[in-house]
Amino acid sequence: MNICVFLSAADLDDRYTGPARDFARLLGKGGHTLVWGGSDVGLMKVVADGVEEAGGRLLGVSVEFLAAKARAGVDEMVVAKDLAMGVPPRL
Amino acid sequence: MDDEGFLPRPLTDLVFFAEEPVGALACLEESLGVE
Repeated sequence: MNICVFLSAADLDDRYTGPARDFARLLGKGGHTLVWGGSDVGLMKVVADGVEEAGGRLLGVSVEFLAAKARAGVDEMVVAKDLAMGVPPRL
Repeated sequence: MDDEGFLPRPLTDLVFFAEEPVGALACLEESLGVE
């Protein structure tokens, strides 16, 4: 199953990173795919790290003006030309 | 939101608030069996 997350880019307290990491590991162990904006900061990095460690797939959906900041070494990174709604990529 | 007529259905139908991470994933996996 593809599971999409929207999370804070800030470096947060254990109160947030703990459950995020636990969720990520369950996601990975369950053989699911993490779908997110592809960024490598804050809670998104915590979750991406956790999914990767637990053997899950990483599928980032980014945009050209942010592509340089996207996480490296993911299974798939879709980079949209811009934010305009067109034909959505088939995931 | 409810007062402003923003919710077409009750909030609890639209959003699942998980107490623990395992609950969130369980909800997602269960939803696979629902049409």
